[in-house]
Amino acid sequence: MNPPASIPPSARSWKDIRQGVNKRAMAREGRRRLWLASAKAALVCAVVVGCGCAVLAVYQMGQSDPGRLKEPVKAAPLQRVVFSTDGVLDRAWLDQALALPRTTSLMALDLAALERRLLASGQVHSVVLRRRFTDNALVVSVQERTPVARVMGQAGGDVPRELLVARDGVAFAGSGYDPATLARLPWLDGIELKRTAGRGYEPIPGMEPVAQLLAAGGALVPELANGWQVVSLARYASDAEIIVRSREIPEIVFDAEVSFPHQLAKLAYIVDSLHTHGDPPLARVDLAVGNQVPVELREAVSLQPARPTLFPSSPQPRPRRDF
Amino acid sequence: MEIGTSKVTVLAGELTRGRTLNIVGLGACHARGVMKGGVVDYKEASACTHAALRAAEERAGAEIEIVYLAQTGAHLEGFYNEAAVNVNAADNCVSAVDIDTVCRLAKAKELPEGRAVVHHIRRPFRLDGRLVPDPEHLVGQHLEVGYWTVHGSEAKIGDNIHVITGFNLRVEELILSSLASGTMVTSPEERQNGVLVLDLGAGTTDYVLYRDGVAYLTGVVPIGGDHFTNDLSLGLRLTRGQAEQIKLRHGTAAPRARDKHEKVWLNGDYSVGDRQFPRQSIEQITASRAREVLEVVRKKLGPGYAPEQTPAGVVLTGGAARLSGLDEAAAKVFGVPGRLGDPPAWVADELRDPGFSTVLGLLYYGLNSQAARASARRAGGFLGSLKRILVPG
Repeated sequence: MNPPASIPPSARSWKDIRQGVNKRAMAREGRRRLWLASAKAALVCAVVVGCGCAVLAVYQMGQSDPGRLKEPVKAAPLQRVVFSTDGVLDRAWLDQALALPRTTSLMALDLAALERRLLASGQVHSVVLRRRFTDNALVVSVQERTPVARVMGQAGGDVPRELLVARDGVAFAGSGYDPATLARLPWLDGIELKRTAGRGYEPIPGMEPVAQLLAAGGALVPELANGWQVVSLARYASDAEIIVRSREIPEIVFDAEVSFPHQLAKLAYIVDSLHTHGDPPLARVDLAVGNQVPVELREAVSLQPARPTLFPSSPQPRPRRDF
Repeated sequence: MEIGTSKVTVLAGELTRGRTLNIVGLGACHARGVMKGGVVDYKEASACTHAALRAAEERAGAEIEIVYLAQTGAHLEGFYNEAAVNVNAADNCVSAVDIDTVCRLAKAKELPEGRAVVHHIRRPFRLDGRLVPDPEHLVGQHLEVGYWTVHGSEAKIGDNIHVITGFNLRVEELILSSLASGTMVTSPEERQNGVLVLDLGAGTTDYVLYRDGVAYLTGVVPIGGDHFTNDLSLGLRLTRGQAEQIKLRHGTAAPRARDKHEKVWLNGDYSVGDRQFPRQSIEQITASRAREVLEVVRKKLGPGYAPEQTPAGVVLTGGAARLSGLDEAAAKVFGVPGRLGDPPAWVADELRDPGFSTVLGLLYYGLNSQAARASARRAGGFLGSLKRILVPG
């Protein structure tokens, strides 16, 4: 006897009877028990949800904990170094300055130490180092100092070497500059370079007015400023005077506390005045004595005050100066 | 819980470690709104049921979680259906699939509209005609099995269940009253040999005939102890309360009075209105009714009952079984020894009354049911749990 192909389903059981009861038909005690059971269930749900939230919060806290983050990221190797600067430093200099090992992880980098290493070069004014986790890169942003003058420095028995001096007085060995640009910078004189505890030098005082003077000279009287070869700060500390030596005028004395454009205007006027008298060679111009400007010539000549003319007789074009 | 015609009984048990059952609470309440085991007044039945539940909970000091409910009533009927299959394997070794197929075939019988199955009671397997308790891995060609299916009115079962759910409790299992009490008052050996259990309640008499260790036949007769009371009330012109009192004090199923002039007092305290009644009349009324009840049961058992296949006799339990001489009357009617059911020795004195055998049986059933589930869970392991999830039922 083989069973039929399909066995008919079992008959309806008492278990198929719905056990729920209409609330109206429920006794008061039943309703009370239902309410208590619901409250208990709600409490249990609240506790479970609360516990879940707490676990989630703890988990998220753990995820955002830097100490925990370090673990997985520590293994990520440094892929590349992104370098940007506002000056002339190049990638070769950066690689040399950072001296990173060939294989290192991003989180193993000591940014503070790297920053100190970069700042050891006086040419770097400020540096920002940051880790970029998206591509495992070290981003280096450098702000450089701009040299305004040159100075020869010698420490102990070392060979004297040319240093550059920035506006803030910091002397540094420049790197990456165009030699022609450096050749145009005047030399500093009358200063004393003092070594710091490290390998650098203490800032040179008085460089701010020097920078202003050179900038004003380059902008207002470029034909004169281009010939400035030496800037001396020998009398800066005592008399607040800056002495400039040029090819044409061996000594020009500027008052560091008076407006440089004003003094440069006087100087230009004197030079222009002498131009009308055949350009006798000047020995010294002292612009630091107030309204009077003592001018010393190398040779004695008779000078007449220049007359203002609408149409100058000299065929030579006069430089245009806008003060 | 048993919602009886005369009283509602709740016995609270606490299952510890899945193996030990401690009886921790008892609640009993005079039944109202119940007639012949069926709810006829929902509010009244709910009120007394809930009172019994509360009483049990108070005594237990704990909240009841699930309910095993005894089911009785004249609406319960049973039928036998069997099926057979040829063993599928080439080597004629019976597999689990063969067993499952034959069992499903035997249970697949449609019921009339409005009827619901209460129990499928399996009889022993027959493999090529020989009785085997478990045919798996045995060799044979023809596997047969039969089920005694107990079914009842869906509406009446639903009424009983809704009384419980109105207390915001869930009915875990519905168990035939006779099966519950029969398990409690008979031993496995008696059930193996063959025994008939009669549970005489106030409104109904439940019976179960055991053979080969399983319930062979079950049934309910809508006659119970209340009919004795009613007969006395009508016959002696007494109120129901007085008739109940007379029944308990002087009623018997085996008349002994020979002197027709022997009389008994109604109250016996010489109070106003106290009367005398002939003892023989009382005994004749109760004995006649008792014999009638027993004969009705015998008739309903039909050819399925044979004294020679019931050597363990007839066991009487239930509240109405306290009627004296009922065991003798039963022995005469059924032709086998009769005795009053005695619960196991571990049952406390307070619960040794025959009226508690059903609720005790329910607790026993609950213990076995829970232990079996725990055992199945342990045996199934992870794969078993996974299978239960994926293939429910």
